[in-house]
Amino acid sequence: MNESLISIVAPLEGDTTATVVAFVEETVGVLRQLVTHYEIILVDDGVSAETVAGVRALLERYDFVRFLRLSRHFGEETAIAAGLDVAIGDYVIVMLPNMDPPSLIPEFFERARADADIVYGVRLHRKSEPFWYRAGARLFYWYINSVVKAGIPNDSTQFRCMSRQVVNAITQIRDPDQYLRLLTSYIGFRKEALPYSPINRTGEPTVRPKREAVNLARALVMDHTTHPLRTVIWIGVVIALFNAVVVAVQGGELHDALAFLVLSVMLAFVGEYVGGLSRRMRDRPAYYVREEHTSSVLLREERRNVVTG
Amino acid sequence: MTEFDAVVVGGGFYGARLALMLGGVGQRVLLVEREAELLARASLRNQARVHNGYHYPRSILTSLRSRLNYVRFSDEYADCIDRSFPHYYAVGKRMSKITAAQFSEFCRRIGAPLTPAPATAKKLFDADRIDSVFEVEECAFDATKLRRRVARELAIAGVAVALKTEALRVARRGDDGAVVTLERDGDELHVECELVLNCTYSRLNRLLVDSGAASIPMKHELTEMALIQPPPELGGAAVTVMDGPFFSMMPYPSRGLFTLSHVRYTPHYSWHDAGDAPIYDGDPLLSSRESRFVHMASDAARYLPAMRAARYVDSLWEVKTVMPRSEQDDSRPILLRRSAEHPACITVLGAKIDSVYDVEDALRKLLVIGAPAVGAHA
Repeated sequence: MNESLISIVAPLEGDTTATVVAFVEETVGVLRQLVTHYEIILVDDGVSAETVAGVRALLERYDFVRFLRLSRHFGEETAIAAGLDVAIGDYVIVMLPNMDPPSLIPEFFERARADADIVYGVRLHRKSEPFWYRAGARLFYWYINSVVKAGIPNDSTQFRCMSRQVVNAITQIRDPDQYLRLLTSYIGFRKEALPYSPINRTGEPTVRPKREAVNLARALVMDHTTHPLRTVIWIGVVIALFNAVVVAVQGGELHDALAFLVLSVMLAFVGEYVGGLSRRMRDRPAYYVREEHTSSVLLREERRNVVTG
Repeated sequence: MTEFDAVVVGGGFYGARLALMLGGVGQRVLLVEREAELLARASLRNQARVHNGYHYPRSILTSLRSRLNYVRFSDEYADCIDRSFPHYYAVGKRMSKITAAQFSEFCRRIGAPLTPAPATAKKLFDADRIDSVFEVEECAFDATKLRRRVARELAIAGVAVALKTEALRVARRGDDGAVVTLERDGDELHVECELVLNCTYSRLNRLLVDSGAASIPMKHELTEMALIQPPPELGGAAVTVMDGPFFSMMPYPSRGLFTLSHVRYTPHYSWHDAGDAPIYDGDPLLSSRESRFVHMASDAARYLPAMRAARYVDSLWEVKTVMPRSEQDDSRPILLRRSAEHPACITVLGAKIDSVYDVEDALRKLLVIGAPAVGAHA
């Protein structure tokens, strides 16, 4: 058995008690076979009162489970960042309880220990997703990797195992928007992909709502690069030139309208970046922790000894 | 049947001090202790910290009292005190309930000495996780020396001490007297007295309930402090990280080691005594657990990287008992309560070794005035 300490960081958002219980049970079973020391950090980023009660009950059944409750819903990426901030492990594994199978923990861990600082999961297939989502994902990965070269591997998921050195590097970046996949690409280190088939504990559709998916794609792009800004500026310049030529030759109001449209588009992009800048200028904590609970377990053989009337 | 003026149940530091106090005013006192030695349980198995107020930034009253008691305790027991080490308080950047600026302002208000730590000490901490490091004045006590001294004083004061003796229950005798049933080597014996002090700490409800009295709401924790040899880079310094789920490392003079305790990992299990619920006996838990040293040291190393090289030697296990209401705000009230069912029996509970003076003051008042119930605040 390995003597490393493994931390599991799992953000919970809208997960049911059944999902969390099954996830923790399986994970504990796997970790007990794998290492001498572990912890499971469940980050509450907006679960129902019923799930909160379910997790509190888990704390009485399993040792080394920590329940970090954020003060409100901050989003998956921030919840993961909060978990990374408090994780104490030599290796930290990020997992989404509904889709990441605990049975793969040993493989992630062994490969991280052998020859990589970061082992990240890659979806083997997106079969369960609707066409529009797959097409959107394809377009996103083409743009972010072929055009702006952000280095987010195609179809990579949050499931990843990182060494302590990597976690320390990531937690030093105090950016209000903590996109783990971008930060992982930024910090470098040795990386390795591990293809796997996500599970689906609830059986319900797992794709993000359209608006959220588009927002995430926009944020990932704009956090990484000013490419879209430069693109629209150049389009604007070219059209303005063209416009000037056309107006010079024949005059007319249609072209003014077009130019106005282009300006609006440019302003929209500029606005996005200025917005991003102003968010950074505020320099306030990315999240707040409401409370932390930790395991308080009475072992079965102990139960017999302590009740004395 | 033997007769005494007072029977003090529990030979920890509080029980011994109160027995001395009563013996000092001419009473015939019997001090009963279950273990083979005095000060063998919670008085021995703790951080050995003499509190100088720094620890309670959320309760200024507790801090001020703590400052007064610090001076008194460290003077009175100067021969049992270790001051030979520097003590650093570091304020955490994240998850801390207090900022460095608030902490220095708080120390200024309570008049506690606080200076910026020397650069060599600051360098030991991870600047990304620690806001500021201060040097403070706070010492440790040697529980073994304290035990020897208290035993000597008890002998001089003529207090009878019964070791390896357990008080099973208290019964009423007349209007205001009591009979205490003791057990020693399997034999039961009875002692008559006018006053019983229940100084049994984590077992105080055990004695009350077995005597047919109502229990007092209490919270118990099975706690572990690791006994370690810190890495030499730390130069024998004590380190306390404020104020949240952090760790503390203090010299433990009676073993020549250091205790490592952690707000998150030191309590292994907690439970409450409330109402008519059965009373749990925490003692069997003391030997059934695996150490959490690895968790404590792994977290400590995030703030103080040298802690990676800390060497584990042993663990101190103890049941820690607190009054439920003191959990939120750092206040450390002392408990002094006369039992309604047994007016001769007074239950005593304090949290820190140095609040013994508050307990003594409150008990003096209670015995002279004879009020039926007092819950005093330290």
